[in-house]
Amino acid sequence: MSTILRAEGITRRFGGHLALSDVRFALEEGTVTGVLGPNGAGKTTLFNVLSGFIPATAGTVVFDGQVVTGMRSDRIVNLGLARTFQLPRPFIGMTALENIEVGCLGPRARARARQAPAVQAAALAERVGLAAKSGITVANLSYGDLRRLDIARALASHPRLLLLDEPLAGLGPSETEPLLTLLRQLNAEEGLAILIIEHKLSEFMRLVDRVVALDYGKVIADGTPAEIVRDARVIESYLGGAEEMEAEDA
Amino acid sequence: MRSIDFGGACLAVAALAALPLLNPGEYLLGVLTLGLIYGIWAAGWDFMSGLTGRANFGYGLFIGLGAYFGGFANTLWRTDPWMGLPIGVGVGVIAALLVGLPTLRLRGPYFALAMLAASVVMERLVLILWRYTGGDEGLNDLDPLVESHVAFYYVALAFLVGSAAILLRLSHSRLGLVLRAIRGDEAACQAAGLDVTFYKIGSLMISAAFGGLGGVLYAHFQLQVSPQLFSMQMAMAIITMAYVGGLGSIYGPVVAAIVLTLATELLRPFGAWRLLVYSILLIIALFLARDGLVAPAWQALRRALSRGRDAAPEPLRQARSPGTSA
Ligand SMILES: Nc1ncnc2c1ncn2[C@@H]1O[C@H](COP(=O)(O)OP(=O)(O)OP(=O)(O)O)[C@@H](O)[C@H]1O
Ligand SMILES: [Mg+2]
Repeated sequence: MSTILRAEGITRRFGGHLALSDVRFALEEGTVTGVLGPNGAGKTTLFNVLSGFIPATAGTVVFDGQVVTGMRSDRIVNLGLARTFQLPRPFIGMTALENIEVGCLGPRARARARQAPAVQAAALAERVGLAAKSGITVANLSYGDLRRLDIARALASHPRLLLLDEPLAGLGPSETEPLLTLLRQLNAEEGLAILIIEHKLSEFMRLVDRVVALDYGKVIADGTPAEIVRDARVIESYLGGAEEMEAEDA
Repeated sequence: MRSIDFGGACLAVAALAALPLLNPGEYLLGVLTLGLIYGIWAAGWDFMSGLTGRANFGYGLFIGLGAYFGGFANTLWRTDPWMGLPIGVGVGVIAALLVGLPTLRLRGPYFALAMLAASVVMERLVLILWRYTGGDEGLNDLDPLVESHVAFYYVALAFLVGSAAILLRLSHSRLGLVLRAIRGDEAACQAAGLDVTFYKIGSLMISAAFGGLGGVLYAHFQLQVSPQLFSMQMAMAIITMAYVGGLGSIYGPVVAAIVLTLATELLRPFGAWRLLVYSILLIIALFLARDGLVAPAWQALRRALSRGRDAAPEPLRQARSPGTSA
């Protein structure tokens, strides 16, 4: 197996605040890796740097053998690194299908498409379970639908690596399982590599092959789910507080 | 549904084409002609600014440059007046590229400010370079495009119909979809792999082409070019038309342009008050009818019409081809 993404000493500062500090890890092709960490650990910031949405203060991101640090974010998408957002970002005033179709219009999506964008979009809507709602404007979609819409739009670019920022947040139990099944399918059948942030631990741990744990912008552990749940620092920074957190949510 | 839109458009064009037959008189025909030219501008402005949501306060730049270069070609180099049209389009497109390239890459107010500044600077420059531009007096004694006023009315109508058809088609194409997505969320467009800057500059160039085209038409309509074409007033009138018509609809601004030009020409005796009227209309459109007046009115009418058709007796419904009911 070869490496699809390598983070080399990524540091990101917001004024005096060090959101990421010398973050290093590598992702293998076709694997599912999780990013674990308490609120404010720097997980979303890491995604923003990897996908080129914000520049790194220091460090290098190598995707598919190519340095992508400093590259425009849409170029990175067209190299095969797609992302979703922690809060879904649909195009207001458009239907679900049109939203997905926009994702089918990028150069990478166009180059790989065998069908017209609208046909492709319909197939993607079907794939994420939005087929019945494809004609509905996004204002009338549920939160769970918007999450799936974001994922469908990201998938339209035929990514080789997909960054998912809390895809299960706000989803009911009936919506969680189908989405997990879809992610497993994409990984198994198409070899899509996934890097996922998720606070729903039981689902998270069953999905991922490996976990990178962050706290205060630093990597504090990197290993299999079994290793991570036994890691003293992870327990202290995150898992110990997890029950509290879930109690708060309830 | 599409057939209703097409029917409405045909009816409107037929009505405009029939107007000169009613002998409206030279003055009213002139006002109508002006309305048609404003229609080209309003549609052109709407294509970039209405679809992407980036207001352009300096649209006069493209109008003025088109008119002046068309005018130079005709008065200095004595080229055929028809040759001015492609020149005006080309000059507008190049100006859009020059202003758009450095400013549309940035987020924030840079584009709006740069467009405004460019049109103001150009207006001043025309006065400073009065030896070449004629200063306040502008360029005079342009050749007419066609001999009669009625013929010119039809030329303007033909260009308006062509422009509106092209822009409407583009706005419903994939390009239009991307532009509306940019209006919604630029970052999400980038996440979809789209080069947002490319699309914004491209749409500004298309928008400017129609500004320049209308500028040359206007020059050969007045047979004169003056620095006021660059003015903020000019741009504000067009912006008001676009808002009153309904942003991003193309046809709404066209209709609003014709109606408002007629209305304000009739207000000409009030002189300076005309700007006030435009400003009040714009405020009303912004606060009371956020989607404008023309486009929502047409949508409502269209719904009523299609309800009427669905309620038609059975034989009538069967007579329609199956495709039209969808
Ligand atoms: N644009 C920004 N400007 C200033 N500070 C920021 C910015 N973005 C993030 N931060 C700060 O960086 C830190 C990390 O934020 P980040 O959003 O990456 O956390 P996270 O791990 O995704 O948390 P959560 O689980 O709540 O989503 C936080 O302290 C946050 O306040
Ligand atoms: Mg986050």
